[in-house]
Amino acid sequence: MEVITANTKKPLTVVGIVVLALFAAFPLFLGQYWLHTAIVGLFYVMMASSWNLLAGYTGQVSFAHAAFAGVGAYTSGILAAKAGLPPLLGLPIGIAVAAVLGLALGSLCIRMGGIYLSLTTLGFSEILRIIVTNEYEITRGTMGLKTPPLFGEYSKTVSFYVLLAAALLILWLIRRILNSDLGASFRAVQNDETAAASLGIPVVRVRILAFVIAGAMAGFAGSLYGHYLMLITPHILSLDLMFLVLAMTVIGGMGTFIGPIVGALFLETLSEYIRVYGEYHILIFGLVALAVARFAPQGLVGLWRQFRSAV
Amino acid sequence: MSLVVVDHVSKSFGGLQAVSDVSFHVNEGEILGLIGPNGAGKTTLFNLVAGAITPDRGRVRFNGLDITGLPPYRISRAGLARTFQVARPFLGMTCYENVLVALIGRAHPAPDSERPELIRELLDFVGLSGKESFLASSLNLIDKKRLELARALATRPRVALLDEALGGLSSIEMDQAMGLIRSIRDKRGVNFVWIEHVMGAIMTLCERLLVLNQGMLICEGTPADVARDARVIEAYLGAPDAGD
Repeated sequence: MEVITANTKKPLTVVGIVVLALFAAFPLFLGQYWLHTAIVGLFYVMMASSWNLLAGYTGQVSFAHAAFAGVGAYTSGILAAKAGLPPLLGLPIGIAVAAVLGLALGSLCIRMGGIYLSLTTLGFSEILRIIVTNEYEITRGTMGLKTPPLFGEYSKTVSFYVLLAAALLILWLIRRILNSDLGASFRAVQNDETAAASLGIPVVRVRILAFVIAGAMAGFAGSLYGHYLMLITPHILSLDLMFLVLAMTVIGGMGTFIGPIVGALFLETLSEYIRVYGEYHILIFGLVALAVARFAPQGLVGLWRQFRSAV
Repeated sequence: MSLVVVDHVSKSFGGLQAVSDVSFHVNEGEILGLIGPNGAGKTTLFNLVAGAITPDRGRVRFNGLDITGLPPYRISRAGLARTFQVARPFLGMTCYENVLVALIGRAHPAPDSERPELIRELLDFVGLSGKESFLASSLNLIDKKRLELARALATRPRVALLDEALGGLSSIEMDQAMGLIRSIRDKRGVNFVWIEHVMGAIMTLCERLLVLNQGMLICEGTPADVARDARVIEAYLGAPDAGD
């Protein structure tokens, strides 16, 4: 077994380093427009990967992930805009609030599985969106809330490196979790909760912990994204954004580490090319995600693996 | 000393009295058989002991500890393992990972450095040598049951509840499975409560049998006593007609 892993892991690591180096050099040759696309792509990498940790590895298909990003964004955004708190201090508070809400929602959903959990989280997400849209005094509703950049003067290049570092941090954390005892417990719970409990796995704690971790990560991503855009609108916690994250994860490969990364970057780039068709791109992504879920459950990553083992 | 003491336990679902006022105990070094017609409440009784459901009345004690109403993971950590009527390995995980989960689930998880050795030894013991990297979904029925046993053993149980360990196996496979159960008791000091419909097997391996019918314990004794008991014969075959 060691021989096999050594053979397959090494080229992948090399490929990873090359891709990363290429990515890190983007600001040198990309224009402002594509640099923006890359930054948004990195936000979606964080969103899809952390959602995948919850949905792809513990089987809890939550529709509240965009809502957690919104909680992170609005928490540090409001603290900065209304109380003058530096965004670097607001960021951890945003993460904490998202984590606490993750704890609450995870606890609420503990007796639920499948469609009931999805519907409950969807309801939670919509309630939050409606509150944010209507509390005009605090959030400025659909007009959007102006926020300062994370630190210093606004710069796309700096923002790009901040988001890149943040995405790498999130991916490193997810990798660590997946390879830990907690990661094995996640997969056991996804496979069969009853059997996992019969082997001493505290299923309730494991499921709630997944909600807290994924919620905190989404809060982190959302907060950074808000301070990059410098204008937070209820779109960040909309179901539009949620379905985009879902489509990216499913098309890339749910339940795989690489899948959501590939899916996020691929779909974000693609959506720039088909932007002229307006909101239809969400519809198209939805249909493609449906087809992928039905015919290639492991997504692009799964297809690539099949192709490689066939050759 | 009795390892498991079940004390006047009852459970009903709606209007159905699934288990009513059942008491029994499991002795050290014993394979206790639990038999009864379909729907007698055997699996419900297991679920009550393993914590999957909570009894309406009565207590369950294990190893001197009152485990009534404890969640299943706490009961597993106390040293009481179970297998399922339909084997439930983690299908999307390898044999290695399946056993790994049980090592992680212990009250004190096995240290990282000891895990590969422990897992290989357990898989060898149940007859799954060389299948560490096989996905559980790719195993045939007896290997799935073997994997479930390896997983249960990895929790280091004092008592294991086996729900139809032989169901669906060929006669050769049954002999292998029976040999395995006996060697687990002899070599690892695990005591069993064993639900089984294969009478030949249960008569061979068990010193003592419990018979459940319509949620009630109707007979308890050696296999020979139980086989002669009028209530047991009636439960399985029905009451003799007046004309006979």
